[in-house]
Amino acid sequence: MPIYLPIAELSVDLFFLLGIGAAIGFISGLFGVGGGFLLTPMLLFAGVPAPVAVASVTAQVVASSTSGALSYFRRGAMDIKMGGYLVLGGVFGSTLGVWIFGVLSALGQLDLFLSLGYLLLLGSVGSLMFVESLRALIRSKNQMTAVRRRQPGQAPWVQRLPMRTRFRKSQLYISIIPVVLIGFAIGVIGALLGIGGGFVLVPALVYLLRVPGKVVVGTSLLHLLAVMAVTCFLHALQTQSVDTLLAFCLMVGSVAGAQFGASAGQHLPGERLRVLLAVLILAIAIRFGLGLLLEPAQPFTLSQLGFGEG
Amino acid sequence: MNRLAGFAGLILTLLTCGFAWAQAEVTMTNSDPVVAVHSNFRGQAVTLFGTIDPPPGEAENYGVVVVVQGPSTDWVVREKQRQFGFVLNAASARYDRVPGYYGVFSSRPLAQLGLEALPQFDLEALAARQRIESGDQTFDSKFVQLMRAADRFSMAERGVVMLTPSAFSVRVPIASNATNGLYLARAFVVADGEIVGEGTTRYTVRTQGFERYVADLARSNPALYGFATILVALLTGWVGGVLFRR
Repeated sequence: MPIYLPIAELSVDLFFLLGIGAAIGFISGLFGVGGGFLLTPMLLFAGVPAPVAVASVTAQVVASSTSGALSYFRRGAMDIKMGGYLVLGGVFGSTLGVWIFGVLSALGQLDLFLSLGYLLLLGSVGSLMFVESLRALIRSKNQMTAVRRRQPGQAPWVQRLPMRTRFRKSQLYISIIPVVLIGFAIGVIGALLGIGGGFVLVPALVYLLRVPGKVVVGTSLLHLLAVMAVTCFLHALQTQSVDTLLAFCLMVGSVAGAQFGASAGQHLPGERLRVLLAVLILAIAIRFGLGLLLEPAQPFTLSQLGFGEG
Repeated sequence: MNRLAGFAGLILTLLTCGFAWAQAEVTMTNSDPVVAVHSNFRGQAVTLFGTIDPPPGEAENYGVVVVVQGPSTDWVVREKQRQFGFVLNAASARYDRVPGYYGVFSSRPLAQLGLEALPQFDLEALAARQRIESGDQTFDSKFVQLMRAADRFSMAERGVVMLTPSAFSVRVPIASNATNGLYLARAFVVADGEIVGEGTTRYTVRTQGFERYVADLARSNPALYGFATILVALLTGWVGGVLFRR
């Protein structure tokens, strides 16, 4: 059943959209990741124009993080004060990101930038994950008890920064500067690549700031929700490439898929699946790399100059 | 008196000569003055009709060419090239105010009508005219190719059907991605390689349906559209969470 996407100006099969939404939702539920970093590449490969893919996925990320953020909020597993500072930085970051996005789009280098960005991001995350999960797999095969990882304190430079404040929920007394900066960086990346950035934000909060595990996921979801909503709004305003219909189909698929993923995750062998996810991420990274290196069949492309371009 | 009569006779002679040779009147009309296209449809067509008065009876080699032109926008063609080892968009050419639809239909191949040199029937000449100075002219043919592939330019020799020697019809396809607005159709009657008559008609293309409403809102009121999208996202996420809560 074809559905016409008004902003992408493309007819796509409805079940294809629901299907990739569900698949990505399943994976995100299974591994507790946002899924934007898989969804945007899938849309790009399916032929959705890059600005539309990136801008629409921001709306999908809002939907997929809403229910999670709500349930963490109800349980009180969320540091709202820290989330506020993260979002503050994130809003500035996303404004900058959307602006850079418009410039790249006008220069005609958006595709190149997205390919490079995803190649670097997915390549590094995928490799780390692959090595990590293989190690875990071998450890579990050898029946060895996992060695508890050393928990070093905060990096010394984090403690020396001024403007310290107390984050009661996280039991931290740290400067707001690194918090705002982390939010800012994730905001820029998110707006440019069409990802929530949870899989970068959570490690950053844990390893740089020592945010305790019980509030880190909730706090990061709060950041994702607020910053992606702002990003979506800015994309709608500036690049006018948010396709609500596309985003809605993806949301419906992913919201449903995530629930099954989350329940399946409790019964499936985690280590083996993580190897698979790592391979999947690496495959997508390689696909972007090939796109950068191989001569395309049709080197000429036509685009209509829209608003704010040229 | 005599001189006056002679002068009048001369004018009359000139007029009738001119009339017989150069003044064929073309009257055109169309099947749908307002074409409502639903975005979900693969596309439809509007049929234009025309009569030629007086019929170009004597002329051996005559025909009709219809040019349909839609609302104009600006376009850019980019070429990917290998630079620093990467394949990236390197060269580009911009075309300003090129019709989002430009179709040339004729009752016989233009070459047979002796018209291939006329610029208004030549898509590449159109591209060359609208190209921004700095652009490379090698892009013109690529631009035409890409526009044709997108169903935005079309060239149909024998697209005009002569119903009788003086009446013709032409079916103009409307793609689902057609730009909304006023479309102008001009019919040219051609005899022995010269344009001897001209007539016009116009129709409006308006795509309808929910998808078009969404697209219009995104352009006309982006702030409201953005808010609505976020609201939809929040609601979907929330409802999904409630529905599937275990």
